[in-house]
Amino acid sequence: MSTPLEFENRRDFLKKLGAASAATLTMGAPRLFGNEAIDQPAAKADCCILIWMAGGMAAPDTFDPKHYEPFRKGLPVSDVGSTFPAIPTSVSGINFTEGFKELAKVMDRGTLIRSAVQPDLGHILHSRHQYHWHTGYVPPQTVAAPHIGAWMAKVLGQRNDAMPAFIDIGQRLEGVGEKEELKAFHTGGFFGSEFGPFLLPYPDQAVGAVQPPEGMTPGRFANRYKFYQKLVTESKVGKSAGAFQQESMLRSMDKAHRLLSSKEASAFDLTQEPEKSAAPYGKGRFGQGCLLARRLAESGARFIEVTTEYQPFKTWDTHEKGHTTVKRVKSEIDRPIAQLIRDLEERGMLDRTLVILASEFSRDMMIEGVPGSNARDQTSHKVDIITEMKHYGQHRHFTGGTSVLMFGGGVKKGFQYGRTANERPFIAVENPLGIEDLHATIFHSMGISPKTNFDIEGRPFYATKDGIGKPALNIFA
Amino acid sequence: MTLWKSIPFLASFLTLTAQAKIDFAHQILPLLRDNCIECHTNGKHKGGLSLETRDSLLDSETVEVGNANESILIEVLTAEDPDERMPHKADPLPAAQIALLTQWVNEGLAWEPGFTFREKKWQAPLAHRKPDLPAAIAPDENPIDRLLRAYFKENRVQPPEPISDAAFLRRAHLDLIGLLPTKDELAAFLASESPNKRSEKIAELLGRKFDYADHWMTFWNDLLRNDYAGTGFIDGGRKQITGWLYQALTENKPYDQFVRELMNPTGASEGFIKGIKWRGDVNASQVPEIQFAQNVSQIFFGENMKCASCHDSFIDDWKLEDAYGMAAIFAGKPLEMFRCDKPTGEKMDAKFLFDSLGSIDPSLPRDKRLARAAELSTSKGNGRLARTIVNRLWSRLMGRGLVEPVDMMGNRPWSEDLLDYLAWDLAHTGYDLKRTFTLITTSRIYQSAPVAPPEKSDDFIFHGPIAKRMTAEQFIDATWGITGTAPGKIAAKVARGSASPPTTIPGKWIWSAPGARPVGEKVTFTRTLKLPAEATAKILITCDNQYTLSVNGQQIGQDDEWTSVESYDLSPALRPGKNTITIQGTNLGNAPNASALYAHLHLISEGKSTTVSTDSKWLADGKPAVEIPGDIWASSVNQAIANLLPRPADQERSFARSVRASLVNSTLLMRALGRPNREQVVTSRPSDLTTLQALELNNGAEFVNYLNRGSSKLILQRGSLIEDLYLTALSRPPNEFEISVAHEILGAKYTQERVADLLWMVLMLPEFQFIN
Repeated sequence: MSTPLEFENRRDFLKKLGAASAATLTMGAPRLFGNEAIDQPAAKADCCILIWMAGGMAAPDTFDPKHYEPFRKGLPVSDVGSTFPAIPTSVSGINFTEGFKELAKVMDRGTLIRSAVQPDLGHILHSRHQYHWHTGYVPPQTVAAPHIGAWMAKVLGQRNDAMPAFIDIGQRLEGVGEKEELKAFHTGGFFGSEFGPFLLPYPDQAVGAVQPPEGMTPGRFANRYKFYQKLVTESKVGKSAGAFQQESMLRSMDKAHRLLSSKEASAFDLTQEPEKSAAPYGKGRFGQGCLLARRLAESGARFIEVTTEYQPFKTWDTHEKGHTTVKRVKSEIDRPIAQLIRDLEERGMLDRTLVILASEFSRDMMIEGVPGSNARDQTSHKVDIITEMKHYGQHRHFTGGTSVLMFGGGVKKGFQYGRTANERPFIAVENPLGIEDLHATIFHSMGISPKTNFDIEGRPFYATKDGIGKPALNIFA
Repeated sequence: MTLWKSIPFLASFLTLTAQAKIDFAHQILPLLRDNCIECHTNGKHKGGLSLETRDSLLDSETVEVGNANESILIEVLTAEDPDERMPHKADPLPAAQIALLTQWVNEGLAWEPGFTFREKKWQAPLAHRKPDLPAAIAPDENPIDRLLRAYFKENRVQPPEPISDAAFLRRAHLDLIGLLPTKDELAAFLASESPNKRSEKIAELLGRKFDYADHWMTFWNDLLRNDYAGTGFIDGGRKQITGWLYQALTENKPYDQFVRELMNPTGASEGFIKGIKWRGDVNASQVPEIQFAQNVSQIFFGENMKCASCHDSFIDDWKLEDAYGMAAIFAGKPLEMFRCDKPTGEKMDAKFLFDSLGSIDPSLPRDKRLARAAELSTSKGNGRLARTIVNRLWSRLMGRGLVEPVDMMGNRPWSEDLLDYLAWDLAHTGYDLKRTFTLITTSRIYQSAPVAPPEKSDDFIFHGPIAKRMTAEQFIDATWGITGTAPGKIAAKVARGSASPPTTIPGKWIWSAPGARPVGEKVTFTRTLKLPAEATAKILITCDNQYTLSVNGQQIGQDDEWTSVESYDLSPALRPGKNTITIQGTNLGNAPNASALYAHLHLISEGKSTTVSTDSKWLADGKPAVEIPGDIWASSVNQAIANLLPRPADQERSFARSVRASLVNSTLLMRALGRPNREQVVTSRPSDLTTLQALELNNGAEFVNYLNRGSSKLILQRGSLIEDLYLTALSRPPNEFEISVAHEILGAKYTQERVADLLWMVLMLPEFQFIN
């Protein structure tokens, strides 16, 4: 290699490249583990959709009903378990709370985990616990921890060449509170930005992200690239031996261009959904996000997260008016999520798609954290006797028993895993499932061993912390 | 993952199991170390088996990779005859350990890259050493070239060809100040007949202290985890060192003093050792004390203490005690050690990483401990401090370090003489980093054609410089420069004025009337300008409390922070003939209070420069504006304005300091292009453009906006557009083919869209995005 590199043009360069280092060119490309890591568990799903209930979804007011007391003046808080009455689901013995009429109908397609638990970490904070939930690691970390979606993108690769592997729907990273903390885990981490999220904060504008820039006709866009290739092809790349790195850059440009001109791009366009099948998702941002998630799953995305969006004191982050707020949030999410499950099933995709509904922690009316913990109370104003409607609701962060719903991806149908105590504190009393084990379960469905690790700075970094996660095998059929 | 790297082709031999893959460093290495290596390494290769490296193990033919059943290595572990069984004269290995070794063989014998049980023959020295320089060919031959001449001869390497003046200029500009040379700078440099013009240019660039500081902020912010927004700031768990750092760079603070001020800080520099604190409990290996141990060791000495802050390291010799010894300096008291997040009950007090340099008296309080650690770090005997930084700088300029990875300075450099010389030179000439930059960039090897990056990292032989991809900041600065779209305001709180700013400001502060003004009062200020021809113009503006600035009806910018001064480029909105500047001012507050507006324009038209400032010639709601006599703004804001005014000797550059990407908050585009979140120490940026980045450059709103705004300006250049664009972006004129393609794109009648497309194509050329 001591002779200076000279090539006539790019064509000539590519010919001579045959003998050169292929490794240099594929650096940063997703590794398909099919070639090598065959000691991974057999995948039960090819695609994962995470429905993220941002802000701390209270289990007793959603999927784990406790003793119900309707609002009345003078009601002692300690008397209330749930602020909604229980309703039956399609599975006898499993009840939800009022407001989940549609979800109740599809319970027979999935597994309800009622015993997910989280550590308190001193202060139970949304962004910190969301970081923990999404990466499996508690911040801060000495290396940038990848998001669970980035793990799937890295280990499993793209399912379709023209479709980003990891897509994140509904969360803005600018213009919202705690945005810096949100950015810290919406990332490919040390895997690099190739494996990071493709961000689509507004589902109805998603198509803009995969179209030629606004105001540019497809013809002009194609023309621009045609001329570009002409310039590149005839340029004397050989003048510089940086040609090897530059070639890898051109490949990325090619891939981007393919996506922007591909038929898959139409999957991002919600206006192309027939009215009849779009209607059940409604016009709300979250519902539209669920519809988009379904379309992207159909078109070959690997991991999709769709969220109610975390904003301090919004949606699930109820520090007052809990009951009223949750009632509204339920009305916004019930039908779209149920429809997503039905659509996947109808299209024969549910078996090979793992759908997870989860939140960073639960809530209680009385207790912060879990009994005996040193967690600081996040609620500044506490009442013992309810006198106003705004006090009626789940207002404390609770980590001792959280509900997670799973559908598809090999999980049992109409199954309940774990349970919480019937009397306060409503902590998981059967099969408590920590973050590592929950992640191991998700990874197991996707065909990734929880001990999968990558070498970073001479150390192994595992898919679940220190490789200790154990999948809850019992939930799989 | 080590296994994937070493045996991608062995998959077909592996048996299908549900188990996770073996982790060599944590599972196999300790097992071999405790049971096998005493008899099978370092010259003692009993039974012909050497376990030193993976290769030596393979050579011993005791292992059938992928098939433990056929491997003697595994067979002997379970031999019934005690004379045959291994380990010899010891209890048989527990079944679980045998299972691990079996799995290890079956999976392909994963090994830590570069790891050997052989006792290290080469130990990185701590002390300085001044290598003898080979004889010079010419009297002024650069010491680097003298050393490399010997190196190339010994390794039979043909040195690369020298690069042209234009290529040199582009490379030196981007490397030293992070900016492309302008068309005029290029022309002047090419025309110069000075025999020393390259050295003179290097001196000039290093002398542009603000440009230099702007550029190197990126490097140091990455290293020191400094940023203007990020995690931790929300509840006071983090503190910026921006002002201190910028000043240190503009002053070219000697590096030893720089390090001392970081390790034993003042209020302005304490943010570094305070680290990043999230509210709540954190892992024992991430408390601020341990962050101090890890970051100081990594940044200044190129040692990785991340393993050792959890347990004795498996990959090098650092122990838990070493990590906690450093942490206890910061703690100011003995610390209980945690092994893998579990308390050990043992305590460790202050111990410097390289304790042969001296000890730290445990009776000292925290501040004295820090002072002592700073003193030891920069003591004469510590050659590692200088070696680490010169290696980082070499890596930035030459594309790859003398030692790799740059954070593992215990590894052997490809030329000890060169590393030691550069380190010695730095430490013995006042730790002047600009001297190191000069030494490297004036060398013949720096000014040589780039070579191909190495295919593998083992047995690296240096052939010459390697092309570097622009950082996000370099790319965006270049884009802003070409398109004239830099924003008006920086986020970094830094003193970034001209060398000797004027002491008074031209013009006056104005409003519709003096004295306290009602809350919410809105006043529209206007000024019309007659321009004989096309013009370029910039404006400096601030308003107490809020303004919206428009030119000819086109909104340019707005702001509501009266203590900061913004500058905007008005050129795209101006036209020959009558132009109207409109500023809507609003008074805010809780009670009536003083209001005022200040603006200053600098116009260049037909080669002539004029200025226009706010005064009574402006109209306030149609009536002459009132000049405000008060001095309430004079002390702070007037100085900020004066700092931004052009230096008398530099009139034509208008407001000299354009906003630089390193000084603004990160954006989606910057993050996509690799600007890190700075939660962790970052010492190298990604070298590849990824698909998501390419998408962002194809249709991301931020980049498209720059192209569209830039093209409306570039279109005015008409005839010279193509040539100017190539000269500015690539520091060379377009060739005939490129001109013909550009004409095809632009068509007979230039439109903004066609110009934007040409602009995009040039900015997407690898030739543009790489520093060749």
